[in-house]
Amino acid sequence: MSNRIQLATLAFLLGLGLGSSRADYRSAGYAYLSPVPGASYCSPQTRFILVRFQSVSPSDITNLASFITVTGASSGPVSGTTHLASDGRTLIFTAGRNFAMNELATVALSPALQPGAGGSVQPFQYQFAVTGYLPASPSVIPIVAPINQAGSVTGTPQPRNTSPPTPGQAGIFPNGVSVPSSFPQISITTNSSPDSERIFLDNNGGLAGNAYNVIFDNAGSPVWYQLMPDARWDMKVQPNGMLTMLARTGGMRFVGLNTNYQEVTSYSATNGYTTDEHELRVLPDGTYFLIGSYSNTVDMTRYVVGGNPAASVLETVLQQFTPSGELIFQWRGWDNYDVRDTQISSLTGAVIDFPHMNAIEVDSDGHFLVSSRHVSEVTKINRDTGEVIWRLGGTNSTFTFTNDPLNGFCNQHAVRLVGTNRCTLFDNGDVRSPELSRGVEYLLDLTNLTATLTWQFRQTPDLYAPDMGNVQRLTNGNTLINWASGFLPKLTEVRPDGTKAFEMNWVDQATSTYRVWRCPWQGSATQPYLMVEPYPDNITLVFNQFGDTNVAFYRIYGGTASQSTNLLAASGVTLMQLSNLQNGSNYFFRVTAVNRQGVEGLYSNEASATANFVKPGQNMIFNGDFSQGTNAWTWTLSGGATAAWAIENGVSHFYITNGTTALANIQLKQGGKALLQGKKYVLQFDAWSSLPRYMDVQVGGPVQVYSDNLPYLTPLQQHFQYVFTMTAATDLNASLVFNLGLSSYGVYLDNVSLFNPPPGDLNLDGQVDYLDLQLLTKDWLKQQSGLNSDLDGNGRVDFGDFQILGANWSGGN
Amino acid sequence: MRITGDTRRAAALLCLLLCGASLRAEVRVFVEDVNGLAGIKYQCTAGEIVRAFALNVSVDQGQIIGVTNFLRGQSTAAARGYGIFPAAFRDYITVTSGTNVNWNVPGYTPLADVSDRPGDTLPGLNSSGVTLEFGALWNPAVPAAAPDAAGTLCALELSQAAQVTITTNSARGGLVSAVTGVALTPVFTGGLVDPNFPFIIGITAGNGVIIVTFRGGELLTAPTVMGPWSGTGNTNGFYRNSLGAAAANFFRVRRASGVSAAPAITGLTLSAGVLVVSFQGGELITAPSINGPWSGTGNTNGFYTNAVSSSPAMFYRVRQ
Repeated sequence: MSNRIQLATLAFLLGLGLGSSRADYRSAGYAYLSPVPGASYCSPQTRFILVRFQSVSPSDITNLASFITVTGASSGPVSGTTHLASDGRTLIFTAGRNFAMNELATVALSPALQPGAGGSVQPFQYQFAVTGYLPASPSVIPIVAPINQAGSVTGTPQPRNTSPPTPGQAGIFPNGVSVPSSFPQISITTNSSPDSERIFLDNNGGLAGNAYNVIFDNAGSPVWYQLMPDARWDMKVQPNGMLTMLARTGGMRFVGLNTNYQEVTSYSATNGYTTDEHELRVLPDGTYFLIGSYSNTVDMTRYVVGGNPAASVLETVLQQFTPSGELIFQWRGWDNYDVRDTQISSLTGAVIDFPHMNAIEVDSDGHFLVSSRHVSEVTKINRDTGEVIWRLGGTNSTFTFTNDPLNGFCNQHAVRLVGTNRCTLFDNGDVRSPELSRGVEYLLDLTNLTATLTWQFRQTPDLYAPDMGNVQRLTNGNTLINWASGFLPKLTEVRPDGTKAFEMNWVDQATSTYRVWRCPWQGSATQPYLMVEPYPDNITLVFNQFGDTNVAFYRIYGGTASQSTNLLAASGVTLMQLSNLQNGSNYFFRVTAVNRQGVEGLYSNEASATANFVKPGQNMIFNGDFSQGTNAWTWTLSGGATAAWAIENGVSHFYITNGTTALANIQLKQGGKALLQGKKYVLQFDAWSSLPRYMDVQVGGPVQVYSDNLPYLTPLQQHFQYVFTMTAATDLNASLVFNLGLSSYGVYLDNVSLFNPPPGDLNLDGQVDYLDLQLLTKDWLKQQSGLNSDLDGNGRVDFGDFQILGANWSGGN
Repeated sequence: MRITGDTRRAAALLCLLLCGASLRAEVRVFVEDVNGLAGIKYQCTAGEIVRAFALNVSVDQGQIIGVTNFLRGQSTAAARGYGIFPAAFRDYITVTSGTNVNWNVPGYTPLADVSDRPGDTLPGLNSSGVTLEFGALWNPAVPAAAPDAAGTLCALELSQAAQVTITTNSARGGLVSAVTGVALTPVFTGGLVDPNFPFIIGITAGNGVIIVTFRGGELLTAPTVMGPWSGTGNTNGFYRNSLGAAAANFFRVRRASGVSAAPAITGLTLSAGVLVVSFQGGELITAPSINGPWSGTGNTNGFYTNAVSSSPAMFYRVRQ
């Protein structure tokens, strides 16, 4: 059945008086129905019909198993079962199948009461629309002003403290916890008697794309960390003691870790909604709340002039679950907000994010608060009926703001209750002019309907955090503010008088953190967490049995086969470098912790790495002279480029027939290069072309480019040499890329090398020999800064530099 | 009374011998009279390998007139030592290859160039002091090519007998280890060097003939180490005689008349309970402790023996 036919059917049904309003069902004795009568844009995967009675006890229903029937207008009767949820209040009809797209669903409720039952309830029938809308067109409004789009980060970068210990390199913190080179360190700029709880940080991966979730102490040392496969937002300790965080890989969900850091549970949205990334709240009894999201194709011309007739509208929904995982409450954006109130997302755009729920709070009276960023509203919701109790902020606010120089908040995050009718939130301020962000606290007067600003914190000068952010009132009375994005501080702990007790950011300021929390936590792992890093001269093992103070030492097992029980070494510290390995072999490692009583614990996770040892001066490029043909190189064409690659007399010859308009559309690449932070590298090759042209030569990682060069090629063979120092964090899997597109002139390439010149290799030829000694002695006893021969950097050339040269001597006569 | 550094060293050494004290882990750089040359020597005591020495060597009288007996080029298994001299490398070596240079060029010596650091460089040959630069380079893949734990850096020729002192040259880096980050503890010990010191250079015996080579005076001979000593009349440095059926002969050299020597203890031996002290330049005096009281032995002939089997530790020095 076409959508048009379904809508006609719906109109027919409405004409027969079968359509219903919310007032109808309440007068019929129902407190709560989900989907709500008349709901639009419901997911075809809506599997749960929820029913609550106003005054009737579910135990008085004699036909509980059959009193709910559901029919799809096009798909027909929907079989299912009905049961009473473990909350003793909600009846759940579980559909046996999905609905059809764009159909109308009818729910018929025919409860029968046993004689003498208290209360009353009437049969009731209603409809909801699957993916479409019910034909009660809203008024169409013109767009009178451009919608403010999420902007770039502005403000003044915060000062950074002294450098943390060896960022970008593997090492051991003063608390004994070791970290790999990719570990994201923090820089603490203020540390003045802050709250004593641990700091919980999620991490989007920064420049290098390594998403670590970390628990830090106030000294900036990690207490626990894990490299995640994705950005695992909102890591916090729930009131039931579970450490939870978002997980994306393998399906969006939140995962729960026990105090042994073992993943023991997960939390997902249901009923056709995907788990949204913003919030999971778990109550002490295990009841939990999630936000779900579902994208509908919506004809926005129904709502705004110039609307996209096939806009993709991402709706969010609040879902409540019993501890056993039954969905017992659902509160949808389409049911409770007007899409035309949407901010930030353009109403005429192809994609609209509405209403963008991003925080859930449970009030002391049991009712719920939900923050919806794109309508700038915090909504208090009746826990039993889903009715709106009040709206704070946005265009439909129940309250008038007082004592607030900015007259309220907008595009907020993280509403939290900090007392009776008192809440804090992070006011992002995207649609405010000028844009600025702050942490705020309001006191609500439910009689006079005022929201009085009782506290705020703004940076000096103001900062603007366009996305994310958090505010947490701490037990010591201070307030934690997370500015979330880019170079903005990730944690500013502010005293009630506005002074700072603590402030920090990631050292890699490209790293953002959705939420920062301070939480009480005593975690102790029962097995080590192992990471391995293959370096040019060793494989480094980093292992920690986090939080276990009874570890005496670690045992390291490994071999070239998985699950090896071959004991390689023991270590009293949490980092070990293994160099006595067979070069070129792949090794598997596991680690155990042995406690002070001599008892050996569980194996760690297994990690593997290939020993790819490269000495200073040794060419890191395999087959750089193409003597082995195309071996070890990867050749790709994209963007319509056409070219051929041939090895002719030991020279790479690229025949290019269509270079397109981008250099990167023709690429010759070799990856797997370990570039160490602070090391110098020499890239050199011979190249020439059929006619003069440029090519691009890069050494880089997945996100950053460490050396980018544009040699100008001519028909004459030239030797090109580029020297760069790795200033970025150590990258153990960097690539050399020749970008050969943009021109259709052929390119010849040979003798490619990339090496780390050994100390003392002053002429950068990969050897330390008499030519280098000659250069050193030419500077002998000179005293000035910047001399290449001043290998130890002490400002003069003497035997201290000779010592370094000698340690790397290549030999002579 | 003049107490020289050498006499102090001899006294201290004797004390060590008698008291059986343990050695310290350190790099010793010292001067040793080698046939009248000032041998500049080193000794590593705890397995260290020195990468380079920058030394100031000076004499208290006369001049340093030459430098000999040094290695040229990198240290190899066949020729280990310190043969890289940075200033001379710069000034005299022509580098045409990264792996092969001609070391046999005039002027390539460990002598520092005063013009490099005038304030931190001794004047050089024909003066009372020289600054020396010694470095070692070896193939790290050939451990046997590394310099020995003890050896000679060079020998200096002196114009006359003199007390030679040796110190570090900090401006050039002093002593540096072969291992980056490892600090060395150098101990410098000077010494008396006398180009004219009476000295038996060698004794060979064979085919019924004994040949004694010597210098610095007349060769004396005696049937026992206690004497009586009688002159051979030979001062030309080469003595040849038939062994015959005589008992073992003992030889020493009596300084030529008119040649004065600086007071010094030149040798100590302890054998079968007999201590033999060789000395020059005055009367040997003795004391039960380094602080005295000192009393004269009346012996000025440069050769003193004493039975010490039941004696407490004794200290000796020479009074001019």
